[in-house]
Amino acid sequence: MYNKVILPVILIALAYGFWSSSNFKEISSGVAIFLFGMLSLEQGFKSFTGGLLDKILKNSTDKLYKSVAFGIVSTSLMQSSSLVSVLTISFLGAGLIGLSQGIGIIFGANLGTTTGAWLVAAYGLKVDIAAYAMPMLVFGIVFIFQKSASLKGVGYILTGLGFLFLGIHYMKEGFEAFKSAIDLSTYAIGGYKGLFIFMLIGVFATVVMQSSHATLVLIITALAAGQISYENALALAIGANVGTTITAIIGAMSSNIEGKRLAAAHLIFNLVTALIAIAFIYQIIYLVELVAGFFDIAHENYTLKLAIFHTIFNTIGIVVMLPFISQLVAFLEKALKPKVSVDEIGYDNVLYLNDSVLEFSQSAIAAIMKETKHLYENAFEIIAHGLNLKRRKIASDVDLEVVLKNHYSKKYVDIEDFYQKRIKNIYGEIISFSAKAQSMIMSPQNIAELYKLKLASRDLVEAIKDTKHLQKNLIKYSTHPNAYIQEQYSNMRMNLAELLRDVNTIATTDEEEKTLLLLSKVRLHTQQHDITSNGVLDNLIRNKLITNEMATSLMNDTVYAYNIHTKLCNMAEVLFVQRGGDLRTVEQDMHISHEDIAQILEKKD
Amino acid sequence: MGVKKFINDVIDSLKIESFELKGKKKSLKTLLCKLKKRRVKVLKELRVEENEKKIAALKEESELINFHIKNGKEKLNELKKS
Repeated sequence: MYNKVILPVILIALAYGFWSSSNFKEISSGVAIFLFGMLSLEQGFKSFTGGLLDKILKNSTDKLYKSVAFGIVSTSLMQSSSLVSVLTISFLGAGLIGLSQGIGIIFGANLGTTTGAWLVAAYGLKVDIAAYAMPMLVFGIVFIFQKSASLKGVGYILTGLGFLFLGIHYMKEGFEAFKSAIDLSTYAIGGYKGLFIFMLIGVFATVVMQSSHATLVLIITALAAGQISYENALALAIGANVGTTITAIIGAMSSNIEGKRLAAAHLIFNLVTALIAIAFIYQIIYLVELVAGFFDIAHENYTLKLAIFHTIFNTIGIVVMLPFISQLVAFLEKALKPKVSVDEIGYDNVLYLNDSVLEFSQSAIAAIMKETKHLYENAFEIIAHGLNLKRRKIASDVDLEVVLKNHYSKKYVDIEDFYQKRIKNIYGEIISFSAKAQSMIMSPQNIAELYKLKLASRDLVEAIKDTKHLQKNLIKYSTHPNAYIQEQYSNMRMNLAELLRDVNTIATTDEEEKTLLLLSKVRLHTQQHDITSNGVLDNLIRNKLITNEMATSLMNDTVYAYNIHTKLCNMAEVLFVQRGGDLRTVEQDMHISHEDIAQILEKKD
Repeated sequence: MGVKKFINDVIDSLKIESFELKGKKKSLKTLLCKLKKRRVKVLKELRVEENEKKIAALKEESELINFHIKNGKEKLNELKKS
């Protein structure tokens, strides 16, 4: 629809405008330069999101008021609510923040974006900002050509600001010149009719430009030139606020259900705010007059009054909606339901991997981490069932001897079927998504982290395959009349059950020292239970306590069990050592060495 | 002069310790403190435990704690010297 109808109409209208009016050309080029500046500014800020911005976002959104404050401050600083929206959707999609925090940020961003109107109204129109634009552009371009990513980022920000200033200058000039040719203010429409018409124009302009900021600057410059009436400018500002939700909606299309809920919350918030503003327009205008009077703002200074209006009606929206955030979240969760992860034939799907998280390296890595944990949950279940154990019993405090007697099924569990349904698809998605994420601009540290996550997924898959190889003999010999072979396989099953319990504790505990000790315990037991190296197997063969066939099976299966131990231990080290925690920083230094393990085993003997 | 070299020179001349090193030392100290507390707890439990299996598990845990404390202290001293 857009490509076939709307876009050609817009292009034809623009071409006609350029042909018929040079002033229109100047205003349009001002808007285009301004939008280009916004893109450049966003690009610049994005190059810093690999570190500072996302760290702040992660740490400063644990409370609702902090989320709102984050939205206000970040949008005021970056002058782009779109970037903050995309960042929020991306982090929400990766599960790094919750829906209510995301909504808080979006509410804050709505208020933060009003600072743009203040800046343009207070300084943009009074100072010759084009004079500042040129040096900014020159310095910006010099920085963009540098190798360092940070300098490039600074370059994009400077260039972005330069273009923003230049765009405002052209819009201002265009409207000034336009005034002498045509007086647009004669088209002003009063009353509620005008309010609705201009509000719709505001919505349309913002949807087309995908920037409420650009619409607002256009309104302010037109208002300053006297081309639109004050009342109609207010209606346009209300419309711009509604139109801006289109950015979040487009961003959420590629996101998961949480991103879609956030976009819906954004739309609801801006619609409610717009309805309030329309219903109480005259009361709000009165309030604007009071505030303007308080700050000694001249009666004719409509541009600053528009900025006050914009701030007041967004503040009212936040005040009205904040107490209902939990109800809003509940409504959205009920109205927008996620696709079921496991479908009717039992095939499991990915939960966190979607294109929206690819916007930022941190959210991409967090999403892959969460998906790998999802893979672990499924793998844990398959391995437990493969050993004929109940998953819930392993995760409980019940004595392992009792857990081993409590069989999961009387029948053979088909690991291959489980693998096809619950692992293969997710594993494939993780690998292909990681390749996509790696093609983004990532730091060497991010790439190393991504590599470890891929290895963790592979370890899980291989542990399942080893369990599959082991399963047949484990069941066969666990009840075999030969007491020696039966003992070995029972021990093997017990050791694997203990391993699963330890890994589950590592996955669920918050105590870092416990994680460290359990990882070491698993490493120690991996060596201790290796009967090919501890002499048990030799002893059984030498004394002819087991047949040659049994010996071969036991030797092979010991290798499978050893591999399961090693792989699950390596996986747990990557997935469950808390990111940013103390253990993450020093785990390698405190690692128990092979010599330490040998020393402990020697003592035991 | 490269930017990195310049920054390193400034850090050296002002004797400012790098944040990474400082963070590592702090993390090591915190973990060592937690491990020592756990050792006290394990030793207490060992005194009252009667079940042989549990005694063996507690002894093993205590052994592992000792190795970790030893490794942690060695690393901490190394960091202090550097």
